[in-house]
Amino acid sequence: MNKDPQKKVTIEGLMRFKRNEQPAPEFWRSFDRELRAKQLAAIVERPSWWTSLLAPFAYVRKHPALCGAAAAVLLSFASYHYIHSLSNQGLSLNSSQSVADVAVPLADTDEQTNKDDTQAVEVSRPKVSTVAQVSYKTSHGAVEVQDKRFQSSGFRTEFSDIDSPSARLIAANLAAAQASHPEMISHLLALDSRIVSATTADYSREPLEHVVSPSEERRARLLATSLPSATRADSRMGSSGIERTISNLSTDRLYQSIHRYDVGSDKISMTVKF
Amino acid sequence: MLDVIKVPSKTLVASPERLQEADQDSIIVKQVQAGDVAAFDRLILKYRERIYGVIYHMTSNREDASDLAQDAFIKAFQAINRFNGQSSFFTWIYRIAINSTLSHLRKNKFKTFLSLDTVNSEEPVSQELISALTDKTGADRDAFVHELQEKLNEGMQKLSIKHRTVITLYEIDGLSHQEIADVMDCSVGTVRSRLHYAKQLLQAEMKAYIS
Repeated sequence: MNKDPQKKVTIEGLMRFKRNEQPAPEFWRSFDRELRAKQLAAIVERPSWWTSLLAPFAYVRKHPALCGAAAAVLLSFASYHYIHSLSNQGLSLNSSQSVADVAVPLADTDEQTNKDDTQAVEVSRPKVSTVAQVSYKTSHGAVEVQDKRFQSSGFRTEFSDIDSPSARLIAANLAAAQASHPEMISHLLALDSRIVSATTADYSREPLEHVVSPSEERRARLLATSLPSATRADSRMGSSGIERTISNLSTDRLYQSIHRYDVGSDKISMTVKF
Repeated sequence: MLDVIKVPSKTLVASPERLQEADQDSIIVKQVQAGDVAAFDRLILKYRERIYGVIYHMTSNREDASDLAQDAFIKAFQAINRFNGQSSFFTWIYRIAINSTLSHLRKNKFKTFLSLDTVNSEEPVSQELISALTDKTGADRDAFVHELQEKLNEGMQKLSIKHRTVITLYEIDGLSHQEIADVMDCSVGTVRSRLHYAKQLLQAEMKAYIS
C-alpha cells in the first residue's frame, strides 16, 4: 500500500492523521444551541435536595457487588449481635418490673428450685384450674416451658439447650396480655384446657403407638361397620379405637345395627342361612 | 452570542502558558460561582473543541460525542459551586468528560456505530501521509482518504475501552503518561503497558497501510 518507500508510515503518523478529523463549522452552531437549551433547563430544574445527599454513595454505584457483599456481612454481624444481646438480656423482667408485679408466684409448684440463678417470668392464674408457668433459665441458656395442665396428666415439655428469642417474646407477650386482659386470657386458657383434656390420653402414650398400619386400620374400619361392639382391632389400639368408633357412630347407625341382628330388650335371636 | 477566544492547542502539562490559562479560568469560575451564568459561556467556547475531540476519538461517533460533551459541560455547570480549585478547571472538566465517556462506552459495549467527521486533508500532516500511501488524485484520492479513515476508526473500535482510551489520550490528545495515569486512576506502568499493547493491536489491524 505504501507507494513511497522513502516516507515511512507509522501508527503515530496514522494517529496524527486521525487527529485531523474535525467537525464542520456549522456543527458548532447546533452544538452551542443545544448546549444553551440544556443549560437553561439545568438552571430551571435545579438538582433536588437529595442529590447532594446521594453524592457520598457514588462509590456504591461504582462497585455495587463489593458494597452489596459488605452490606450482607454487616447485616449478618448486626443480626447476630442483636440476637446475642437479646439472649443476654433474656427479657430480664424480674420481680421488680411491671410484668412481675402482676404475677403471683406459684407456691405449690416444685419449679422454684432454679430460682437463685434464674431470672424468671412467672405467669400464674390461681383462679383457673389450668395454670401456666413459663420460666427462663438464662444463666444456663435454656428455656423451659411448663404447663400445669400437662404436668397433671403426665405431659411435660422441656426445651433444653434452646436459646430462642421467639420463645421469650411469646412468653413476654403472654405475660403482658395476662396483665392487661386477665379475663380474656383466662377464658382462652380454660377453652384450651378442655381441648387438651380431650386429647390427654393420646399425649400419655408413646408417639409410635399412634401409628397404625394400613391393614389394621382397614380391619378396624370393617369391624366398626359390621359390629360396633367389636371394633377393637388390636390390643395396641386400646380404648382410643373404641372411643373413636363410638364417637363416629350415629344413632341411626346404631339402630340399624341392632335391627339387623334382631337385638331386643329381653331376647336375642339370630338367623343363620347356609 | 459567545465571545471568541483563541485557544492554543495545549495539553494538561503544567507549562507557564498553561498555568496562566488556569489562572484565567479560576477567575471566570469565581464569576460563575458568584452568579454570573454568562461567564460560563467563555469556558465552553474555550474548551468545547478539545472536550468534543477526545470524546469523538474514543467513540468514533459524532452524535454521541456531541451529546457527551454537552453533558460534561452541563455537569460542570451544575457542580461549579463544588469546584474548589484544587486542580485547574480544564483538568476538572476533562475528567468529567472522560468518565462520562467511559461510562457510556461500558453501557454500549456491543453497540458500535461509526459516524465520522470529515478529515481535513489539506493539513500538512494529512497531505504527507496520503501522498506516502497513494498517488491518486481528485475523487479517487478522496475515496482513499475516506477508506483509510474508516479502517482506522474500525481498528480503534476493536481495541478494548482501556486501550482505546490510553492511545487516544497519548497519541491524539498529547497527554503524558503521568497525566493519563491520573485521569484513569492507574499507575504509570499500567499506562505504558496498555499503550504498548494498544499500538501492537492497532498495528496488526492497519498492517496494510504501515510500511
